Amino acid sequence: MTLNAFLFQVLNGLSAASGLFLIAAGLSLIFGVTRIVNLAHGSLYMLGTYIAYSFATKIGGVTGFWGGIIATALIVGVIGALIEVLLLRRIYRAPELFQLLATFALVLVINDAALWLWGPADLLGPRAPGFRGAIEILGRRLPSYDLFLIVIGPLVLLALHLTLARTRFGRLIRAATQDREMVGALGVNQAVLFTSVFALGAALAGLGGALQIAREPANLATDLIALGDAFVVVVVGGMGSIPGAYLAAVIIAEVKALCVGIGVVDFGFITINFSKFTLVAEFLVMAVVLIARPYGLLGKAQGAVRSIAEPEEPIRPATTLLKVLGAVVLAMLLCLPLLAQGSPYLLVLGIDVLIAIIFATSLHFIMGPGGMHSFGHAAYFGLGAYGAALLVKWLGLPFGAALVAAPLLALGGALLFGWFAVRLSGVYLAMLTLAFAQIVWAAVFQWEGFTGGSNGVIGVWPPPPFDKAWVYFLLTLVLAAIAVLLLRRFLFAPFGYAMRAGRDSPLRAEAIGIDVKRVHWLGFAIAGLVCGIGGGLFAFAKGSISPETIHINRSIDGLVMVLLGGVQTLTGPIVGASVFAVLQDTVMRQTEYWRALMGAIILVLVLAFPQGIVGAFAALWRKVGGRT
Amino acid sequence: MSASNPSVLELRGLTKSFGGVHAVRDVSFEIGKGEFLAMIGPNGAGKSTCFNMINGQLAPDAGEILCEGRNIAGLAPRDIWRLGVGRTFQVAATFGSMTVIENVQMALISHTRETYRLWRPAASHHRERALDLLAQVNMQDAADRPSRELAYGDVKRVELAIALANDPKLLLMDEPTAGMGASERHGLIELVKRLVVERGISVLFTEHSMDVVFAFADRIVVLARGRLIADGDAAAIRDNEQVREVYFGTGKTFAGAPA
Repeated sequence: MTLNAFLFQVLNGLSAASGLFLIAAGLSLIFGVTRIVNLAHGSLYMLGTYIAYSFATKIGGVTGFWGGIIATALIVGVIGALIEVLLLRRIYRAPELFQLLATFALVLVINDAALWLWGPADLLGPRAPGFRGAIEILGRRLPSYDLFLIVIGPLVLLALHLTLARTRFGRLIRAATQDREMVGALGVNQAVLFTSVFALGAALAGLGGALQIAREPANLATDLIALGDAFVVVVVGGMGSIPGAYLAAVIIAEVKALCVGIGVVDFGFITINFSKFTLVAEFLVMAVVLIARPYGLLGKAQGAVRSIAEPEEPIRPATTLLKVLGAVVLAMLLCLPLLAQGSPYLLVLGIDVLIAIIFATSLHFIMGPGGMHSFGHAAYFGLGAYGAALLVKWLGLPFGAALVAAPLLALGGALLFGWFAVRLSGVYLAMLTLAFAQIVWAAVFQWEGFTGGSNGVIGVWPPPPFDKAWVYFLLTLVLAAIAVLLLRRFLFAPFGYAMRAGRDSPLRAEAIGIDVKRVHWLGFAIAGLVCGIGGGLFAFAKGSISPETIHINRSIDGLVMVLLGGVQTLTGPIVGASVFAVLQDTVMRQTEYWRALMGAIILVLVLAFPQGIVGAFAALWRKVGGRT
Repeated sequence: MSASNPSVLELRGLTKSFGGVHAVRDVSFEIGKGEFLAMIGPNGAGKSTCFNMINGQLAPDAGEILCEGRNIAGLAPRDIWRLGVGRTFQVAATFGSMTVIENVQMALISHTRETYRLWRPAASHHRERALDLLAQVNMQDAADRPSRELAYGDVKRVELAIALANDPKLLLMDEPTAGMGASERHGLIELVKRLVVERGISVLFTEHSMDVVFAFADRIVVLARGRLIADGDAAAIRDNEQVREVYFGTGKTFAGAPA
């Protein structure tokens, strides 16, 4: 690459950085004050693109475009305020995990709302009035709108900085970012402060989206992409730090731009296409930063969030009732092949449910008793699924050996990723696990020659007799039962207690000789191992796998399953996974708007049943028992 | 200290600063076997810093911390615990999702290095021994209650039982009576004193309430602005000019203390 080409890519990177910064700044601001990680931030950005598109095309001209951008920012700001008042205000005191889920439900609802309002097609906006041309720089042509974007990022940074430094509102925001309880104690009206900060953050997201319509079409996939970008930027820059967000945006955009600029390089012994690294580059940057500086480049350690979560009951061994119930369910499942002779679909559904149970139970193992909220559990599922499929495809490994290898590969991944993840906690741990899962996903997606890329691996069928659905169902049932019972056994054993000790009070645990990080690391590894069993079973059950298998959606599904059942109960994940898998395979398939439905389910769950199905039953049971 | 009473813990020239602030400067003292030693000083004297270096939460900039002759400076808290140093926290910390007895069992499991066992239920490990420890702090009746339901004074007792689980030779107690009423305070310290005398355990504790210090401590060390300014028995400390000076205006605290 020549120097000119390099400098040109740097300019390209700067214009992309402005876009990233606008998305990220609002997210960072909102987190700093409300401590809510707003997963719907990408959706607000997406709404910005659609609304600005409507202004620009319906009204048109300079007013429609530039006036539309301003109007869009204001409208999205109002939407943000409404979200804060109607939803978030109810869950500020809820555990972090519920806040994440509630905002993820908004992602689903907003996505379907956009689908309903604007339809599924990509909508390309007009070019920006006044910035239609290109300017010759360094021997290449740079669109003048890109130059405008390069300037707008630092301008917004400056405006935010002045607001934060010079105004009363800004001082309150900074004070609340440092210690919101103290701000509350000083008599500041927190409700108004939180709503206005949320509105401001949302408006910034809307502005960011609106500014993009001249470059990229409005698209229903932008919400998760923008969210991913915003997250990486905020986490790399340091949660709550606005200058950090700009710094991180520049670093990430430049790394990506340079990857594109370098392109294909022949090292003699190997040829690497660097432009393929763009998908994974930002997550690599994030992983490196989190490992070296756990609180981001300019972030500070957050004061311990005074958790107001409902304290957990001690775990008790299964009652006779539960044991009988478990045995009955198991016996009924064993008979399912007989009952299902008329409808083979029942067995397929059964296999899906059992795999979901393995997935959810292994996630619960680290999430509940370990207190580690992994947002990337799909990685270990994917390592198992892809591991098994690729071993069959490339090495001709027999079915049995592949099923054994799947969990071992997942274990390897969990040992590696977990070693880094357990050094963090809370949101940072969630983000790092997400980053690792995205790295696995991107590797699978881009390494076409080996993994089949977006087509995945096909034709991975089990040999006889496992090709019969009922035999495969029984195999899955046996493995799922073993997995569930083993994990349960571990939780009642000293190791499970040590894991909970480390979660309840790390200081106390260390003071009685427990190596908390190591215990949590091994817990992470066990969860990965068991999850890998599910992955292997999945590959052979479907006969094929694609990158979809390990998409972030699967990680989120797992969280929903665990919370649906109840994170503080041991049988919860089983019930949650069953209900979820059945819903997904039945109700969700009936409607085009399954996302909104799913979102609604999550919202009801979070607002009305925070302790999950099993938790709610247990509470009811205690109530009834107390009366008699 | 006589030669027949070898020191359990010895600090030599312990120093720690944060940025430009010298929190602890060249502090040296010893704790003999079975000794009940109080560390006092006005706010900001360096007590907590000193304490956190001994229990492993902070690494000293300079100096040695000898535990029965072995330098433990810079070791992790869990390694120091393995050497027989138990501790209680200023704000009592137990495992809230466990019952009282499970809290003690957890400490016993760790002591016998069974933490990584995956099979036999934890509840079946060391139950007798745990009950015995709870009986010694009069908490056996609450054994199967969730620890988070306990009153604060009871949590402190449970903490004491946990701290005794590894048969410590030295017990570090950071403000053991903080947040307790006067009668409760004396009850707890009397209990501690009785238990440690029975077992020959040495105790180092920090304390704000002077009546407790002067009533129970065998010896008192006084810190002020990071330095050790006095080391002696209650009478010697009460008569010490320098100590009176740093506690200027609080003479009545001393006058009220029993001899």
